Amino acid sequence: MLRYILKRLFAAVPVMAVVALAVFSMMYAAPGNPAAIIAGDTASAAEVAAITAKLGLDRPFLERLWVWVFQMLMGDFGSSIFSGLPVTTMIGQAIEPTIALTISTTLLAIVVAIPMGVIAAWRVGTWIDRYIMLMSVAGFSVPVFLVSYILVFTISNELQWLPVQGYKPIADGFIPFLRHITLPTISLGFVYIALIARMTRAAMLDVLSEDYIRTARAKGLAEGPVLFIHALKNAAIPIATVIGIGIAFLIGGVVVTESVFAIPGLGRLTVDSVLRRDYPVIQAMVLFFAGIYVIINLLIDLSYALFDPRVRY
Amino acid sequence: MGGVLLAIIVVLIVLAPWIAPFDPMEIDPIMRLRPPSTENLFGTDALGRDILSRVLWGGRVSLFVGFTVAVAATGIGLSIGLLAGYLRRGDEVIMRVMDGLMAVPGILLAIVLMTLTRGSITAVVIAITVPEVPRVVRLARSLVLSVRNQTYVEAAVAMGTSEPRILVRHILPNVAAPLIVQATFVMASAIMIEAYLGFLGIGTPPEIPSWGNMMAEARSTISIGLWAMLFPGIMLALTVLAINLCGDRLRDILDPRLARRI
Repeated sequence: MLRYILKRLFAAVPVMAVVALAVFSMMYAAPGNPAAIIAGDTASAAEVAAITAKLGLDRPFLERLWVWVFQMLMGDFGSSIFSGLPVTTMIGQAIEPTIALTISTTLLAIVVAIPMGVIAAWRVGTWIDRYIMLMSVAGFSVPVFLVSYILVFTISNELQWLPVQGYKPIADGFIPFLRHITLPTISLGFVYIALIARMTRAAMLDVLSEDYIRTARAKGLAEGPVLFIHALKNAAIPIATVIGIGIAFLIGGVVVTESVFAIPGLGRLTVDSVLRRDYPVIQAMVLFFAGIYVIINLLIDLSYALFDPRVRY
Repeated sequence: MGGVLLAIIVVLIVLAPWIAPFDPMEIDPIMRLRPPSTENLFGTDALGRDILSRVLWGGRVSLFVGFTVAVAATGIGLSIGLLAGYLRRGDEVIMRVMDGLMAVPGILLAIVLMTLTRGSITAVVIAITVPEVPRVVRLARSLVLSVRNQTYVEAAVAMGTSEPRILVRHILPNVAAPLIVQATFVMASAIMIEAYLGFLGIGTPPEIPSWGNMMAEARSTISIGLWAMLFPGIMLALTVLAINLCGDRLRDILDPRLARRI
């Protein structure tokens, strides 16, 4: 197991290297001189040149790449051009809302989508199945921000049940936290629910035609245990895989949802730094999200052993 | 169902210059923020512009971006896939680069690519195409790998058929169907991402009416009324839904084995 984890982490090195090289080249080619932004509008050409030299922006590509990679390996991911804060500090400040939103959405999606998929597979071909599948295609097609604003307009503006926007950390109490995170979670959940429900149905359809399901039914087991214990456990691996793939959708959705609900998380941080062309922050965010994606998919692969004892690492 | 819906949407959008009741750019301060009425079926926005006309014109941006990205991503992806899977040149390196690109969530990569250029529709097309390419490459490569070992390809090689001819006559027809299905999903996703970029204020230049831009502008008037947000959003959702349904249907027809699975 440990050997497998090390092997996978080692395999992630070239992937991250490609991401790092790509993101560095992009920022290298990006228009605008960060030194001019730092110096401000009234700075003279000499001042800009001095800051350029101090930041090493006048150095050749390979030298800058080397310095950047070396500093990252030493734990220094650079500082924001705007606030001057180290990027690691900024990520640290913004990470809690994003983690909270990601976890709540994943939980909501799993709790809603898996029963949907199981029922659709159980009643395959009937109107329930067709209705659930249509809902799931629709879930892919509705933009996150439209769902968000319809919810904000009806639940917050008209009914005034929940706050329009903002975020309260769990430390401020569970109820305020829940009140603020409910609408973003539901908006973000749509795509994820659609994705998981579809895959659950497909995986269940494969499993339900197996002999051991017939045996379980033949020995008089109730449909509930047959579906949710015998079948679902054997359908778990593709479902877990799609949950991992869905994390990419989720991160994309987080960027939009946080922007709609004014949640001070990583998504907002990314969009804000793109709008300000704050290159060190953008670089770090891309690497960070890619790293998260790689790690989550490793965890998903490891979870296979949990669902299927035949899988050994 | 998807096909009919898509056909209606495409016809409406293509005919926009003739059927749109108003000029989509015409500002009329007296007519600001009117709710839907018989005169302005979808109401007016904060500058008094007719939303129905803007929705029809805005669809052109979405369809153009969606179609261009689908063609470009499929074309580039197939070429790289053939290079890696059939000619086996630089296979290892190409696939590692694709893995790297796929590790960055698509929307995030598109957002970052937008910082490289001043906003224009071409920039939007490129920014959305790049994240889609690796997915096409993966699919194309795996299809090519399975086809190139078939006996009929072996037979063609044994008969001394030239390589370009093998590619065109034997490989391409056998990998086309899944790639066409994939292209429809790329198109749906491209239209969605174009709207996301517009919504975040980093996509299509704001003076061009596009669904994303309209929804971004509608954010500031959301407390007054939902219609300025709702109509472009519904059109966007219907278009993406229609394309996705077409893709599903196409897959059922072209690949009956897969149809049962997903």
